[in-house]
This record gives sequence, C-alpha cells and structure tokens, in this order.
Amino acid sequence: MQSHLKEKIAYYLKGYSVALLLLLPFLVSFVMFFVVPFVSGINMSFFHYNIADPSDTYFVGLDNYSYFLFTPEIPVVIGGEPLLGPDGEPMMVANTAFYSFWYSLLYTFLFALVIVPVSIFLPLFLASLLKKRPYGYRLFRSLIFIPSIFAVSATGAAFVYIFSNSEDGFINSLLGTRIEWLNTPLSAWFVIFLLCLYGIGANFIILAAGLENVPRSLYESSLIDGCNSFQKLIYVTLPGIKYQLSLCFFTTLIGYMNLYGQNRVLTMGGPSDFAHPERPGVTHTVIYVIQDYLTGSGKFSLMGRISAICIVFGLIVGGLASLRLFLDREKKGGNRHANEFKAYFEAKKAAEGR
Amino acid sequence: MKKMPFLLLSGAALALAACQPGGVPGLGSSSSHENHSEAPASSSEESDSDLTYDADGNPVFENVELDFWSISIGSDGLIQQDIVDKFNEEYAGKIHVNRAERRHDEFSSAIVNTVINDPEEAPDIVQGHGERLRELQSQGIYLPLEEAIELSRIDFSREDFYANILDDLYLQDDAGNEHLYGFPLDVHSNVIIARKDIIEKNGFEVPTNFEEFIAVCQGLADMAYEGKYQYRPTAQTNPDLEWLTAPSGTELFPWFMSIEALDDALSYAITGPVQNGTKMVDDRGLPAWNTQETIDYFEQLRTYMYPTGGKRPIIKTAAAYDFISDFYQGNYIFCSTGPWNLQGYKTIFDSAIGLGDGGFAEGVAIIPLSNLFAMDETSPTASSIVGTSHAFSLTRTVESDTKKAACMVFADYMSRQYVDWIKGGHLPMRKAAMEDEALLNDPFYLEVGQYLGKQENFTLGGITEYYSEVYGLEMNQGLNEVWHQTFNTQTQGKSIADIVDEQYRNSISIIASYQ
Amino acid sequence: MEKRKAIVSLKGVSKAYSRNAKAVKKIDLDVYEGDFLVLVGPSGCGKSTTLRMIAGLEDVTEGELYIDGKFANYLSPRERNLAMVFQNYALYPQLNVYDNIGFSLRIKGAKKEEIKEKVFEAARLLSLGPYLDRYPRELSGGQMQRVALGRAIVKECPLYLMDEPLSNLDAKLRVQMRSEIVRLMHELKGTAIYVTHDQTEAMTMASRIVVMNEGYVQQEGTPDEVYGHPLNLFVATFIGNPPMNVVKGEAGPEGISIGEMEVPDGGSGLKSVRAFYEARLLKAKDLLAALLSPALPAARLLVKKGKSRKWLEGEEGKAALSALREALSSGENGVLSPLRRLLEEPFDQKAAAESVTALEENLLSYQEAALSARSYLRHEQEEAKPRKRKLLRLPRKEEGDPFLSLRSFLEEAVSFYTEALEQEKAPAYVGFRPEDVRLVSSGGHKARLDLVEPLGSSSYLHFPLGESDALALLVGKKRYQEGDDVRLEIASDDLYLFDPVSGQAIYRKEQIQ
Repeated sequence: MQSHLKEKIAYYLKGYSVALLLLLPFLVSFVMFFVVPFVSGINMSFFHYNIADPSDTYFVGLDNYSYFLFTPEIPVVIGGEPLLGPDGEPMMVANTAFYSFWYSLLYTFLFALVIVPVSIFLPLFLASLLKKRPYGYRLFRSLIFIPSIFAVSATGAAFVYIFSNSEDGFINSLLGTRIEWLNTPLSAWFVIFLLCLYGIGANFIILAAGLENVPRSLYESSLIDGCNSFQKLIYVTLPGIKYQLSLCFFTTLIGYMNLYGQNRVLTMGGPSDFAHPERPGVTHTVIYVIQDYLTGSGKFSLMGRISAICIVFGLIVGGLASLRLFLDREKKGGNRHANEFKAYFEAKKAAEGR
Repeated sequence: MKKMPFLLLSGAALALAACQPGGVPGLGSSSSHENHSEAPASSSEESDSDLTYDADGNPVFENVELDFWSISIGSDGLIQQDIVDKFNEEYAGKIHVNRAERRHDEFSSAIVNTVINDPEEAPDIVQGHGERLRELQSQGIYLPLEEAIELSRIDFSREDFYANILDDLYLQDDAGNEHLYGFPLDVHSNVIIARKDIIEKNGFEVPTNFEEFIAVCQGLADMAYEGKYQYRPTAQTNPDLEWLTAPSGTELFPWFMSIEALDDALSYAITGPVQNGTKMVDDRGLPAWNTQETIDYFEQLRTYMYPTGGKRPIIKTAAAYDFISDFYQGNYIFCSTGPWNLQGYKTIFDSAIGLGDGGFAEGVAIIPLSNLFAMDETSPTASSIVGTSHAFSLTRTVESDTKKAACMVFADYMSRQYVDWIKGGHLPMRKAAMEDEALLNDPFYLEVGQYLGKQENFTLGGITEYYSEVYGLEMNQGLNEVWHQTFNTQTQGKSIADIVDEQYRNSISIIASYQ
Repeated sequence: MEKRKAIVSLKGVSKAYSRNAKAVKKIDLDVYEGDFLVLVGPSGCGKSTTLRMIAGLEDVTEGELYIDGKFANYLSPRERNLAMVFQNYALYPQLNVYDNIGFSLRIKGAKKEEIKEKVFEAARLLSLGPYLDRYPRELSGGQMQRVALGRAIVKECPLYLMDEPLSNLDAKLRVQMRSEIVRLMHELKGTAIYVTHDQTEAMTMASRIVVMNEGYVQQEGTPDEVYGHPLNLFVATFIGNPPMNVVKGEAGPEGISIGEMEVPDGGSGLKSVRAFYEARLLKAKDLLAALLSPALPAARLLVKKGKSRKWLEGEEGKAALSALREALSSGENGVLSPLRRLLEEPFDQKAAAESVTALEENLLSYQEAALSARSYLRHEQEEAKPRKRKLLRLPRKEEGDPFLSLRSFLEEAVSFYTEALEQEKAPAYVGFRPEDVRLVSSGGHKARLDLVEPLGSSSYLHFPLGESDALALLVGKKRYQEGDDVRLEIASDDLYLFDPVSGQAIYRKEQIQ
C-alpha cells in the first residue's frame, strides 16, 4: 500500500496555506509575547534573578513562593550581618511581601464581590428597560455605552477633581462639605467603584443583544402558563441569556481581578491602613502590588519573587476562568424521571391486575 | 524603558525581561555578562588608547557624539538645554552632546535597563541626583571618574569644591576602594517664602530661627482672631493695594505645607529632624532616624496644628501645590517652594499682581531653611539644610578613552556655567563661583540667588544605597509618612513615638526583603 | 348545533397595529364546545392575530371577546384558562421534559405528587416516557412537538390554542402528528382552535374551517361545505389540492362556454348570473350615489368643525346643515341613513363623528371585501411584477385617497355589470376542479396536452383552455405523453361561476340543495 504522504501534504498545504499565512502575524506575536514570556516567567520564579546583575542568578527552588505565601516575618540581615533590635536580639520584621500579597488579594476579592454583580445586573436592568423601546432608546443606548470607550486615565483625572479631598473638589464645594473622599477606605473604594461603573457599556451591549435573542414565544408561553414578572425573569430571561451572563460574569470577574488603572489614578493605592502599618494601602490590588514591585524602586534583585507572585496570581485567575468551562457545560438528562415513569405505570398495572 | 512593560496577567511581562540578552536563568547561558563587574580598565597607557593629544597636551576630539541623559526637566531643563547648545557651538566639530530628559521616577529603572540589557541605547553621561548616586553605583552601573578626568586633562582638584557634598560623591567600589562617581554640579533645596510686607506691617520681623518663626506665626494667628490682623491682598482684588483689617474671629493659618509635595517633605520631614540632631543613616546605610530628637520635633509640629492650652493652630496642610493665590491674598504667610519657581513668582509680584516694579523685593522675603526648624539654635547641626545635588556620572558602557575624556570636558564645562545655572535655583558646587564677580553682580543673584542658603550648610542627609526606603519620599514611607501621620486626623490617636517606630520597622522590612 | 355552548365568541373584533394597518377586520366567530376549529389562510391573513387575541397576547382594538361567556377583552392570559401550543414549541431550554410539561402546574403551586401524576399521564398519552429526563436540545422536532402538546394538556383547560404547531416538522412527521393531535383532542374532549396555512391540514383535522384572507373571514363551515360550496374565488382556489382551475368564460342561453369548450346547462347559468349581476348593480349604484352625494362632504365638515358652537350657529354651519338635510331628503338612499343622526337636535359632535366613520367604513369595506374575496387571482398577478428595491426607505405616505380609488372601483363595477347585462352571453369566471375533469373517447372537448406529470396512482395533465392553462387530475395508471390529443368532459354540475368584480360565487338553482 502506498502512503500517498506527498499528496497528503500537498493537499493540506493547499487547503490551509492561506489560513496559515493569515494566522502567522498573530502566531508570531503570540509566541513572542505570550508563550515565551510565560514559560520563562515560570522558569524565573524558581531562581533568584537580578536583572541588574545576571551573574547574581541561582536556583532557589520554591523559596520565592514560600517567601510571600507563608512567611509573615523575616529576619533583618544586611550584608550577611543580622541587625539587632533594641533588646539585643536579632531583629524580626514583618514581611511586606507576604502582607502585600495576601491583603491585596483580599481587597481585590472583596471589591470583585461587590463590583461584579453590579456590573452585570445594572446593565441587565438598563438593557431590559431599553428592550421596551422607549422614546429615544437609541440615544440612551449610546449614552450608556459611550463612557466605557473613554480611557480610565482620562475619566479618572476628571474624577480626581470631582472627588478631590479639599474643599475645592467639585462635590465638596457643591455640598459645602469637606469629605476626604479618597482618604478614607470606604469612600475611596466607593469612588473607584463609581469609576468602574463607567465600564459597564460593554456588558450592556452584550446583555442587550442577548435579551433581543430570547425568543418572544417563551415570554408568551410563560404568560399563558401564568408566570408573574419575577417568574418570567427566573424562568425565561435569565436562562435565555445564560451564555451572555456567563461571558459577562467571567470577563468582568477576570477584568476586576486585574484591577489597576482605577485605583492607580484615583488613590495611588492609598489610603494607608494606619492601624496595621505592615499591610498595604487599602486600595492596593494584586496587580497594583506587582506593578509597585516592578517599578517602585531601583531594586532589581526581586524578579524571581515577582514572577512567583505573578504565577500564583495567574493560577488563581486562570482557575476562576476555567470554572466557566465547568459551569457552561451542557447538562445531560440522566434517567431518573424515566425510571420513575416506568415504575409508576408498572405499579398501577399491578394494582389493577390484582 | 521600552523593555519595562506594563504588567500583563500571569507574568508575561516579567518574562520579557527574561528573554533579553543576559539570558533566561537556567534556559540559556549567562556567560556574556559574567565579567561585567570586573574592575574598569586600569591602564591609561597611551599606546593602546584611542585618545591622542595635540602639541599642547590637550586631547584631540573629532566629532565625538555624546548621549546625555538629564534629570532636569521643566524650567531648569530649558536653561540646561541652552547651556548645552552653547557647548555644542563652542566645541563644534569636536564634541557634540545630545541631551535627553528622563523623568525622576523612571530615571533609575531606565538607566539600569538600558545599560544592562540594551547597551547600544545606553547614555554615555548622565546627570542624576548625588544623594541617589549610591543606589545606582551599587548596581555596578557607573564608572569611577578619576581615570576619565586624567585622560581629559581638565583642571580638577578636590579642594575646588565644597567638601560637605563632594565627599558624599566618593563611594566604595566592590573591592572596598573609594572612587569619585559623580562630577559635582550643584546643590539645592526648597526655601521658605514669606509675606515680608504683612509681617512687618503687623509689627513683626522676618524670622531667622525656629523660635522667631513660631512666634511670628502665633502672633499673626492671634491678631487675626482678635480682629487686629492687617493684610494686603494683591491688585487683583485690591486695586489700590490698601491695607485691610481682618474681622475678629478670622482663622489665619500662617504656615502652609503641601503635604504631597516631595520637596516640602524634604524640607519639613528630613531637614527638620537633621537640624535637631538626628542622623539619617547608620554605617551600613540603614535608617537611623528613629531617635528621640525626631520624635520631639514631630510632636512639636503636631502641637502647631492641634494645639493645647488655648493656643491657636498655625499650620494648614493640603495635598495641592496650588497655594500661591492664597499667598497673594495674604491668607498664608509662609510657604515652602522650590527656588526654580521664584523667577515666575517674581515676575507676577513685580507687575501683574500690582505691587509694581520691585514689588517682589518689597512683598516677599526668601528665607533659607538654616536654623528654621532647630529647637536648639546653638547645636552644630542647627544650620544644616538637607538638599539634593546634581552630579554627572559615566555609565559603564563608555569604553573608548576619547568618549570618557569628552564626557569630563563636558562635565567640567557645565560646572562652570553657574551664572546661568543658578537661575534654575541651583547653587554652584565650585567654591570659586562665590568669588566670581559675574555671579555676584548678576541681577538674579542679587535678588534671589543670595538668599537660597550657604553651600557649606548643605548636606545630602547621609549616603545609602537604600535611599528610597530610608527617606521614603516617593512611596509614602519612612519620615515622609511620619510627617503625614503627624497631621492626619485619622492618626491623632497614635503617639509620634509609635508612628516613628512603625515607619522605621517598615523601612527596615522593605530593605530586608531585598536581601 | 346552536344548542352547544359557545366557549369563545368574537363579536366584531378588529385588530389594528396602526391607523392604516388593520390585521383583522370585524370578525364574528363562535367556537363551540368540542369543536376542532381550524383558522386557515395565507400568511398575513390575520389568523394568527385572531388566535393571539383570544390567547390574550394581543390587545383587542375593537369589538368584544367572550371566553366561557365572560367578557374577556381585558383579562390577562392566565385568567383566560387556556393552553397554547406555539409554532416553535417554546420549550424552556433549561428544563428537562418532565419539568417542561409540569411547568404550569409548578407555577400554580401544585403538589409534587399531583404534578408527577399529571405529567406521567401526559407522557403516557404522548409516548414520552423514556424521554422525560432529556433536555429540549436532545429531542427531535416531533418529540419537541409532543412535549409542547404535553405541556398544554396537563393544564386540563377547556380550550386549546395551537399556532401552526406542525409547520416546523417534515412532511411525513406532519401527517403522523396530524392524526395524533386529532386523536388527543378527541380523548381529552377539549375544544381546539388551530391555526394553519396548510389547507390539507385544515381539511383533514377540522370539524369546522374558517377561511381567512386579508383580515376578513371568507367562509366558515365544515370541510365539505368549504370544499363543495366555496363562497368566493379566494376560498375556491385556496381549498383543494391541486387548486381549482379558474378561466374566463361566458354563461350563454344554451350553456357555459370556456374558451372553445361548451358545457350545456340549459341556460340556468345565465339566469343565475343575470340575477346576481342585477342585484350587484343596484348595490354598486347605491354606493356610488352615496359616495358622490353632497351629504358626505357636508357631514365631514360638520364633524370637523362642529365642536365649536359658534361655528355651528354661524353662517357656514347653518349652510352645511341645510345642505346635508337637503341631500338626505332628496333621495331614498339607505346607504346614507346613518347620517340622519347628524340632523338630530342638539348636534352631538361625537355621535356625528361615529356615524360618519361607520358610513365611511361601510363604503370602503365594499371594495376591500371584494378585493380580498378575489385576491387569489390578484396575488398571482402581483407576483409577476418585478419588485423594485429601494436603497433608501422613506416613511410611507398614505397611498392616495382611498375614496378616490373606491370611486373608480365602483364606476368600473357599474360599467361592467351594465355591459354584462346588456350582452347575450354574460361574462364570468368559470371554475372547475381538476379531479372533476373526465376523459372520454368521443365527444367532449378536444385538447392537446402541454405537460404531463405522472404521480404513480394518478397523473396531472396540463392543457390549454381559452386564454389560459388548465389542469386535470386523472386517476389511473394509464400514462399520457406530451402532445397527445385527448377528449375532455366536465359535468355542468361541477362548474362554478364567479363574479369577476366581487369574486362571489354564483350558484345555479340545481347546485343549491
């Protein structure tokens, strides 16, 4: 038997060469800017790696990971000599990397817990209002979408003036108050929250399109079955936009896990947690912490640790993202009811037969 | 900087750095840079040098191109560009300097990245901050200057410069030998500007020490509250420049602080403790400012904002830098400002604001920081001013002798242009300048320059490779944060001692994390 | 029949989506207990709208709707106590078959045991037992259809509405489900209103058929009545497969001639046609007179300006009133009689507006009804025209004055009837069903076959007749070839005559039993 390998290759080349050619620019940059960095980032996380001094590179195993994951206190050793505290004992200090990572992770999660539902249900609510086609709905549609095309840095700059802490801030001077919007933890997060709401336009578009695609007959059928508005929402609307909801949920969640721009522009990670000086500022997010490490100072020996943080955080976000595959899988019926059905009629038959 | 990417998810960015020359650890070899820390060329034998000298013994330069990064941006950047242009004109055909500006916050990382990862793009000579020299020098980025100075045959002697700053530019290399790493250019710090006319009208004198300073502030605040305060807003709202009297009950805060301004932090948070006898760093470069003197100083400051015993508060803080209109209106009497702003203020005061020509001289006093925060005026540290200085450094990517020499010729030239450079608020490091008639008779010097402080009083605070962590200026850490929390309403419950200790441990822990 | 209880009755029900877009026009309809009523008609005829009005999914614009004797115009769908099956099944995709069928019970808050019993019973009826755990996406079209039916029957309502439930199924399955639905309704003793565009479905399933076109009910009756005695051209050509042949012909004193074909009927056709035309002529003349009478413009003016007392008492008002009075008194025109209400004292503007609108609608409906009754032909003509594509769609303006078009229509009608009555042979459309054509060995009409379509047990024979083509359906295995000469014969009883203007069928005495 001949293998026809040559013909086979020629056949597939003919079929896919154009596709390959068109994919090439993407593939090249994908490999260059994602695959290679990703792999070397993982690799780097197992090394002490100093970009200022590549010779100062050695394998440290999982030390980088345990350093910020499990080490709340570190000894102060400068140039091999331990620093002694006032009591004459070697001084132990709080490990800022440990606190920065865990607390920024906590803050990020807590904020996501609030912002994610809001940035799904608010646009859903708006979309369902616009689905009724009120007068001028096209205008409203644009008005809702437009804010999300503005750069965070631009709107953020405006917000900085609006919520300025001094009495000259727009809101403060309007209300005649002197609220330190960006200096108290809750109000700082509130302003970040408001700025984040600027980005709901994308979800709005997705959900509005989803709503349009819910078959009208399902609504009518539910009406005839006697559903009230709430039941309609539960049984028709939400299942009807299940995939849009899941898309919005996960993109929004992942987006806000990577929250950086809003808190950077508005609060610079502050205000400080005065009661716990070892913790990061209360609007530090994980990405903010990483970015701080990368650019914050002239120390370049921490690349291994930064990589490790990135990898761990990447795994967390990746884990969340892969939840989607699990949740979106199609349910299979099983045969519980079918068996019950069989049993039901067999029993009935038996009863009649007796 | 182009290789310092925005952070993307999952460490993609990190690895960008990893795929640069130098190799990914464990993946590729790192041999190419293993020898970078080898001592710089020690021989200056002319036989294997690319540099030649003419009959007079002067080095010969032919179309040498120098890349120069400067940290001076803004108005002093413009002045510097003019000087560089002048240099290029004078040295046409010999040396040409291409000046580029780097922002303060990206300077360090940009230099390290280019020198290590992209040497082709690296600058030859940089003008950075003297007090931060150690941070970069300890990374092995800079060359010692002695050899280059010798090659260039410029006239350089240690005695020509103010030793209190110059000594801090001599740093130890890995082998433990001291070398000069920064060619001294200038030193500078903020000054206090005061409304001289108002102070005098109300029967006080422009203060020269801490005691007088506080007395004036408190006296003015009390007078305002009692309805006796006389003030003179500028012509915008007060065309006839009349003296007005504030109604009783007026709350006047004579002393204004820009709580988020780095230069104000340097004045109030660093210079203050230093004048009161605190040493900033210990021998190993670790923070040593957690002293009783520091605590006393900040406790004192706190009482001026939250006074007890029926006194009036005299300090006002705000995040904004924009205090000048309140200063014009007579709402603030003392403000801290960078000397490079004075030229602009002078113009406005002189004419547009309406005091007429000489209005600045009449209305504003410039007070150097010496003695202003020292509770004991007689202590030897009382007149200290913690300043910043500019110095030229050679990057280790400069290999040719010609370039090294050219760089020094350029640095030497720049250090002699003090008549122009002082207009940026920068005091010359050359002792000779202070005897130079050209400078002493310069109108700007007469009106402003002479009040900026005496070079002998300046200090860089204490040299450390952990400058950012010890001083915490950019990161809201260290003494900067102590200063913030002294005034912050949310931290009123904390004692200054606790704040200082917390911030000290915080600085230490960050430094420890680098080990 | 009249003794049975009317479960649904529509009294003059109309549906208008906008002022000029009426989907359903003054329908009167009673649905009795146990009926399997099929609403049939081409797409856009208003049958679905009618059904949705009954279901409560559309508002009733005008008229009264009674369900179970209760005035139901403003009842919500759930209060109407009915079940509906949708064309695309409308199954909840996230629920399995069991939950889909039991959904309405769950919403009602029925007990678990009760739901189970009813769902299982429905599943047994529909043979859905093995599929109870499947999700809609795992089902075939026929299974989904059965689930939709199951969902309807567990509600145990007296009334089932079905909106083209079989149109998404393939042909074979459709035939099977057809009988299954009929059997099911029979078992449940339910009343069904069933909408379809497929006349075969209508004929096979219905106990009563309502044929609709352009918002009007064209005919109502049992399948046999609709097939055997179509009331107009539309019904005649819509019901029956293949459709009835309709050819221009003439009714003469000896018989009916269709092209060269002569079918003797002893002149009864001519007599009926003449009588029909005379009555139509009178009516058309009346309407035309009413349309042209000065009473109408005067009445319109009064309605427009009569709100103001001042105008009424002024010169113009008085002039209009007297003009109206004069016009109404001069002739004995019954059409205009609603306008008499305007002369009552005192002048009531609202009532006046109503009567003028009623009169106008009466006038216009003459043309509209006629057009809809003969519209099957019209559709064919229109489809021949190439459609113009417009790049830019401008908002549609009102298309001319409907009264102008009515006027020309009436004038044409009058001239047609007048001419037809004057001639010896009266022109009319002649229709005959393809299955009524017989082949004879001698005599009859000689024709050459254009096209032969063999169907196995029978054949379609296309042959020229008059100016157009006709079709004959021949049962039997005998095969013909194109170009064969054959002799054809149609019994005079199998011929239908139609008025070309109104589209109405004209039956001869012997055809009416």
